[in-house]
Amino acid sequence: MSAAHILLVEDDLTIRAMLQTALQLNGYQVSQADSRVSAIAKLQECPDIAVVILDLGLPPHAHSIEEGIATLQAIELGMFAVKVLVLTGQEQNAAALAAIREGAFDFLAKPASSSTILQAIQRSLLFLQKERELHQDGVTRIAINAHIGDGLKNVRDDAEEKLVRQVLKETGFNIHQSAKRLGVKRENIYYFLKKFGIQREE
Amino acid sequence: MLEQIYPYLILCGCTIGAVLWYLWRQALAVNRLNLALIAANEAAEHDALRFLGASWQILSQAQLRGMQWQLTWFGVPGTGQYGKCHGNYISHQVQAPEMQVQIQLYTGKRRGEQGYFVETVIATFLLLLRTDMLIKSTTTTSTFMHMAKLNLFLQHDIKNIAQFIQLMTDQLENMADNQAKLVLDNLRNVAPLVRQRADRIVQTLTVGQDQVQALEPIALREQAQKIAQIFLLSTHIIGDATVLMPSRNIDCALENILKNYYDDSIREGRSKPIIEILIMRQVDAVEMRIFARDVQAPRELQFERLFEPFWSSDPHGTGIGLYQAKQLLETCGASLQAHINPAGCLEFLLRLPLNQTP
Repeated sequence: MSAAHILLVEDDLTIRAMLQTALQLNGYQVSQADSRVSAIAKLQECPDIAVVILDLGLPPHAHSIEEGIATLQAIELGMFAVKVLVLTGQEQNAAALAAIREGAFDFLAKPASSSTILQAIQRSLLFLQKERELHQDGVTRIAINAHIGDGLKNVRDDAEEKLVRQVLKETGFNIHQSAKRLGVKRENIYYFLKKFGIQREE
Repeated sequence: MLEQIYPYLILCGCTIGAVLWYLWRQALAVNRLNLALIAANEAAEHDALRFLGASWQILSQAQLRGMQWQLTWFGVPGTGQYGKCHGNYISHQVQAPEMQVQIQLYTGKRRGEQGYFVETVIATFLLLLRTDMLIKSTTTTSTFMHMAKLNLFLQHDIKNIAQFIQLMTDQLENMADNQAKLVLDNLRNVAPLVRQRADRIVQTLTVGQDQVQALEPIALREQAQKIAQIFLLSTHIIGDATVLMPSRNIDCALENILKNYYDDSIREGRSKPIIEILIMRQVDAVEMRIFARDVQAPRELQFERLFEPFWSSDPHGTGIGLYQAKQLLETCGASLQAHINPAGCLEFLLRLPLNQTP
């Protein structure tokens, strides 16, 4: 577990350098990114990344959370098997709410101590490990944001979309295998692709 | 026959002449009063309430007998008066957000042209009063807006410095003997960057204030490279020179200029540009030209507003950076200009004096 690969997404070079040292001293492998684009590129390049430490205040909007949230959304959409820890100096309540809604695993406000960050990483790795074990047993864990008032259909659609995306990613967009894994016909997969606007490039 | 009406014609001509002369004199007097009101407003520094008090002396010369007002000033009511306040009056209300003045001007009996001339002076007075109130309102709103924005910027930087200190403390406290080299090497690299960040906060907080800074020799090539590295920008530098200047001023100016290229590349989703820097030594100054060869000046660039404080093409920007860079350079005898070069790139031209003595 201690050799886990961590990605630091932070626009401040000094914080990146300090965090890198703190994590390396604790035996983690560390990669860095300073923007949403470079973070997604790094995640695609290194599928072994397990935890992303994400600052929400990323350029070009370093003083608001929108670029950080867009990064979280891109990570979710990319179905990367990672846990995202948000470490940010942005206004705490609003940022925490937005981050958790978009799939962040944990939220830490700056300044956070090394031990707090390390504990959060360990928790993330533990959850990730257990999810992988469940996956080996054929269970895929998906998270959805459900508005109770919207009724069951929207919840079902959201769950369906996430599950289909997940399976397509795992099978390398193989329609036959995906249909088999989901226990549906190939035609159903094409229907889902059209319904959710899923494209191979994703 | 004609000889008989000559005297009447002469009399009519003289009368018309006398009337015109009288009206001309009145118009001159009104003009003087209007100019006096403008001068009084400037002397009151466009402060509406000070102007209200200062204007009576001038208004009383325009045949006004008295003036009284009732106001609500940011929620606080008040009244005041000058002269004799009874008889005929004209009432006006002037208002701006959170400010309201109801004013009565006692005119006495007014006849024909006198009434017209008095009304002209009153119109000028009310216009100035309303302008002052609108200036106050606009200034208040924009000041609060900029304070909030600045606060956000400072909070971001200060929290990052606090995070740095926290991590540094943790690492120094907990490092094992075999980790000391890694920790200290990292600190050696990172600490100067944090110092620069802290300097930037101080400079932002003290923008517009004169500060006496010690002159230091600055090797421009090395300094530019160092600051470009902070923003992960590659540089292509031709020439070099050393100038004697306050290092913080030039650091902060270069940082503000180069940060624009970094922010712009991320905003536009472009790779970071290579910054071209030409350093040319001249007789009494060093000229430093900074531009990005591959980045064309945006068509929508409002060139004349480039150095305007609190104006930014980026809705998330403070609009302080380039203004601050220009101010900092000018305080130490240098200058900063910008123009579109023949290649269509926005080029910054720094002119740094050589004849400074410590």
